[in-house]
Amino acid sequence: MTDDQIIALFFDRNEEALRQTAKKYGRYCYSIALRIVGDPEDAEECVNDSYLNLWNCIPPHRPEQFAAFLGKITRFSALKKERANRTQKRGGKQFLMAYEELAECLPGKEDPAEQIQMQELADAINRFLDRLSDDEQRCFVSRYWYFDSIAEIAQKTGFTKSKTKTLLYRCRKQLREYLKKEGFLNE
Amino acid sequence: MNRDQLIEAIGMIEPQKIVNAQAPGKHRSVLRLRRIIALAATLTICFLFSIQVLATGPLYPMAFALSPALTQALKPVKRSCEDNGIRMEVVKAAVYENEMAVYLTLQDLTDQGRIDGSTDLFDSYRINRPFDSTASCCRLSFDETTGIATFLVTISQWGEQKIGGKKITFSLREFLSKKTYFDGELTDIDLAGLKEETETQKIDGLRGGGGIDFKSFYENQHKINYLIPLENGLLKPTDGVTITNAGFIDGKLHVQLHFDDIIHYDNHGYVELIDRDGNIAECHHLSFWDEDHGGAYDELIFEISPDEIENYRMYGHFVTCKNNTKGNWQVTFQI
Repeated sequence: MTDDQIIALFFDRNEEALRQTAKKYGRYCYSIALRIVGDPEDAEECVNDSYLNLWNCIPPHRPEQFAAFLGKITRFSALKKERANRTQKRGGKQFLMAYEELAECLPGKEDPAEQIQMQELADAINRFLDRLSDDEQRCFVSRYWYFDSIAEIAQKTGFTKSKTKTLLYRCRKQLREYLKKEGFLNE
Repeated sequence: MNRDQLIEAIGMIEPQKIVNAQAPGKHRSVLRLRRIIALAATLTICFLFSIQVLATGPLYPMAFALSPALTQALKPVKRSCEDNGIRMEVVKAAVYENEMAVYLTLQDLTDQGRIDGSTDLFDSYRINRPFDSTASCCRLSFDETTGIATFLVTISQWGEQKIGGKKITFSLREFLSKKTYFDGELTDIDLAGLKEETETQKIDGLRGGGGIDFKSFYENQHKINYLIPLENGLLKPTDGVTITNAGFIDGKLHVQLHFDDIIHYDNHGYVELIDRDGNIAECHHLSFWDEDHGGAYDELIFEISPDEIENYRMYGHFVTCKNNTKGNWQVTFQI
């Protein structure tokens, strides 16, 4: 079934929409959630939450990219779950590693930029990603959106693990500089 | 700002970027199934925007390689053909809407050992459908005892065009094997002895490049001065690759590489410069054909001045190939 057909089922309030979504994108959502929460049961719960959120969002929203929209909802549910778990030191290994790596892009303590609207920051990150080459953008999104492991990114791109690490290191460094330049971080 | 906010903001990036990151092998395997698409156009698209032409990757995690619907649709095929002493067998295949998956094996029936653990289908496979498509291939395994290599090819027709018809013909035109991998420090180049180059050249007609903000770099390509390759080169780290020159131009370190016959052997690689703290120097690379239009040069431009060079070591990473086998392997099966 095509994405448009699935979306049409949501608009008809037909529960078949959820079955078809699970059939087509169940594994995709589960893999996103599992990387973040690190626990199969929690991941399953996040995926089910995502379906419920999807049901509540469509209608009125009609996503242009259904898979990406569903992925975003799943990622959001999983991050919420992971934050709840973090005090107990639970969480996906790849997520925790990527989370630590991003510290390089930030100063050691909170700064006034904290007040900046999240959407402005997201727009800046979009502009930053547009400056990267296709491969760099793909690696960055794989690592920090999907929380793929270095090995998985290397397999996906055909790069060596060493090259992938290097490329991500450069991207983080560039992101830090870019965020500084755009006024999101203090010098 | 804290990390949670950054993670959350990254979560809000444009949907197309999310989709692009997940598309398997999209960058390296755009198959043009319409014969009318000229090779020149393909090369322009691939090279001008720095799309990697990579070797077939190693084992791909199966969980993410196929959609659940495609996995469920897999059917045994077990049809084979032979040409040039190579046997190709389509073991399983599946079609679901606009997607197709084919599991196939290759085996050398002679004693030439042309199938090995590095065998790469070199984007030469196709199905007999009239629409443009995106395809990717991964090598799943190589059995040294039997000499059989197993691959998974996935094909998605563009524009949600369903792959219709009951009979499918899958064909393969050539493959690469006997690849060698070089990863090591290039100690034979005296970095401290590199000089400011007084004689340089301009290059008209790049075939591609890469690096941060490459597109704006590319737009100013006419202003860039390039190294002139030395007749015998500086160093030949491995067969198929020569470091043809290195030096400083306009205060930046240039390193020029030449790859032999990239069209038939897909020779590729790069050098990197790492300082004492393990930081890797940023660089842009610009690619252009050699005189024969078979091999190609890559000029890497590092943000390293003559005063800084003593802090760095140079490392090379190269993939070269010694065997390109051509043939006409074709299997028609019902699905």
